Amino acid sequence: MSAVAETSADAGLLVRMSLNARSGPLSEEHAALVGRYLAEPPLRAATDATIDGLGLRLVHASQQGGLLLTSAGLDSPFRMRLADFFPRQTTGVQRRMLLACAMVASFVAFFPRPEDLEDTNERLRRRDVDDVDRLVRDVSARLDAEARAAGEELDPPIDEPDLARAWTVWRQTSNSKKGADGREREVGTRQVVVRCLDLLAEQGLLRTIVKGETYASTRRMQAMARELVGSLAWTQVADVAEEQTP
Amino acid sequence: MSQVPSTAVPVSLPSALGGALDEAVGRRSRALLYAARIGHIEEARQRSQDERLRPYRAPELCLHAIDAVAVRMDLESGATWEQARAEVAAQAARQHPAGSDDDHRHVAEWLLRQLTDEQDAQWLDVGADGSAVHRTHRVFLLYETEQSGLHHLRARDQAINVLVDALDLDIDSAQHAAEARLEHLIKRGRHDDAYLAARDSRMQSIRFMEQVRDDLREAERDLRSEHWSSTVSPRLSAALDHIVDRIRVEERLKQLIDSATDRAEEDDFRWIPRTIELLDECLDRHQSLQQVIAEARDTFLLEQQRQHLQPRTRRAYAHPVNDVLTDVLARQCGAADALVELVELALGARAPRLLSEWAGIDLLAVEPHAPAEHGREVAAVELTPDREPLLFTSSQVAAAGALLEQVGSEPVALATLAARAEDPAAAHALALLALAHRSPELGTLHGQGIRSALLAVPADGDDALTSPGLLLQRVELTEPDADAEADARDAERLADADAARTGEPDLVEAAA
Repeated sequence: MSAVAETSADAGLLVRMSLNARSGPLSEEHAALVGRYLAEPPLRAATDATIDGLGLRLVHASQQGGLLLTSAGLDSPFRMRLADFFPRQTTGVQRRMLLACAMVASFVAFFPRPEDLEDTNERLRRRDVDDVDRLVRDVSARLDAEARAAGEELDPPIDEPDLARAWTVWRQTSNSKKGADGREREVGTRQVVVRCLDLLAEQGLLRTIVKGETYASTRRMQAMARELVGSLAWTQVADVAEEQTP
Repeated sequence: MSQVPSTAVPVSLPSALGGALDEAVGRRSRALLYAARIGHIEEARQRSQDERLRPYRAPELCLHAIDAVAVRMDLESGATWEQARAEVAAQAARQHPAGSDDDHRHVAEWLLRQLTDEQDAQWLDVGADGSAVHRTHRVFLLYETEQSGLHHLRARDQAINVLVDALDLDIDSAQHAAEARLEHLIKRGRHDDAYLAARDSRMQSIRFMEQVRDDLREAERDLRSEHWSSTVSPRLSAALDHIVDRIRVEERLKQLIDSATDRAEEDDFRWIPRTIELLDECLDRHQSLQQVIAEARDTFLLEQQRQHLQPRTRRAYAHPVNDVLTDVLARQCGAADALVELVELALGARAPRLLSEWAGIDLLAVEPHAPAEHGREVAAVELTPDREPLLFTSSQVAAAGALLEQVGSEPVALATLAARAEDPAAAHALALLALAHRSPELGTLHGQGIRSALLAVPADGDDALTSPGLLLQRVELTEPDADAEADARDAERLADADAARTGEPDLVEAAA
């Protein structure tokens, strides 16, 4: 093999290993490749090009955590689609909103302060499912009180579920473990949160301490939370800018 | 470490009573917050609805927990959550021997969660003009962290401070003091107290290590933001000096104990080996720290030469709860799809798998194409016959009919008749035609004016298995007179008996 082909092969291997990596120590071969990535410009360039070409994006690179990748763009073959994992939760617009809020809350609950997102902050947290639900309910209660004080109309017209505010949907959904007939609820907020946390654990972003109960964050999740908070804050800014331009 | 607030102004000595706030009081009150946190945990236990927490006392367990975590700490690793929990559970078992292992583990888990949880506490600082400033300080004693993919607990510098019963002591001086105390006690031959002093000294060395660890991270960050000078940062060089000093003193102390052993009494030998063990531990820790700092310096310089780490601008992040989550919850549900897309990007990548169950459904649910404006092209249809070709030619059927016509009032076996057929196909046709004459509606036929009918009846001894076949006979249907009626009844009886049979004689065989 020529030197170029060898570099390309190593780059491909590194991308493959990074895609399969979950939380935990890197294998020896993987750690060696990451070390070379950080040290050798040719391999770095080749890997970056491979990542770009496959429709991926590099979120974070470090010797200890390796390369953390996510999909770039909506048509990337590596994209995770929530509809694949939550077929019943994504049928209606209100349910999709509930799911999106549960996901955002799952990230935020483990990194509730700005300094938690900083790379130098190495503190990780353990959280129970109820902690996540309670966090959303607390914020929702505050928003509700504010809206009522402002005399806002909160009930959307019946034919326009799009206009319902997210917090009202969350407040209207039960968080009890069991329904009135003693069966496990399917669409309670608690169940949605559990499934979000399980999916995050499956992606190697969380560690499962007690399945369905307690989870612990990882450094990988910190990098992803940074991304999410950044992009959400950005859309917020963009929305405001849009409102202001006529 | 952040013991001294950087905003602190050089304060005047507390001159007159009530003249100004004492800056040292403020600092010590902050150090007290950490001790107070342990009290809060005890209060939380008492308030808790959880019956299982009742028999235990939290403050002692907290101290044990911090101790267990601190002594296992080195630069790279420490006690895992499970190890710390086992240690605390063992202490809990001593407090409440009647409890079950499950209860002990439960209280240990609860306690670790409390120790790692953070709480904001208030303290009074001295402002620039000597006035009181309320400040909020975030207090937590232990924290969980990840290094090289492995998770472990670490004790904060301030938490260890609580253990050694000190308020806001500078580590360097504290260690000097501990060593001086140790030296003094050894010289006086008070080996039991010397052991306790050595324990303090060990805790100070752990505190110091935690501080160096923070400094190393700080240095790393400085490097990224290109503030790194060509020498090691001043804090790290000060640390290096401190370590060299400690190593020297610790070796001298060991020699001192050696010489003191000669004069030691029987009782002292319970303490001397333990003291030496502690000193060895400190010595080990300091030596490895020295090595790490020296190596770190080389690594940093080397990495800087390679220019790998891009200068990073420090970003100010939006507040995750107050800004981001609040904003998300305030949105209308119409924004759901845009949100889901953003969330999906934060889930990371996953290599596409072939046909997961839902991907399969996607494939099946592909929408049909909409018809084109002018209709579709008409396909040339190739027609295929929709049934089997006829079994018999008309001549074969006619030949078979002629054979049946020949049957007279004399009974003839179907097999005999079939033998006269020209080929097996004709014989088959004959058999099928003959079947039509089994149990005919004689009454109806008679009503239609037919006076002669062909009857097919089973041959004698036909058991429907061996299939000897049918007998064919032509009967005359006469006007109803007695004889004829009897004849007709005979014929009907024959036909009924035949119809009662369920078995179908194998005609082909019979024909053959």
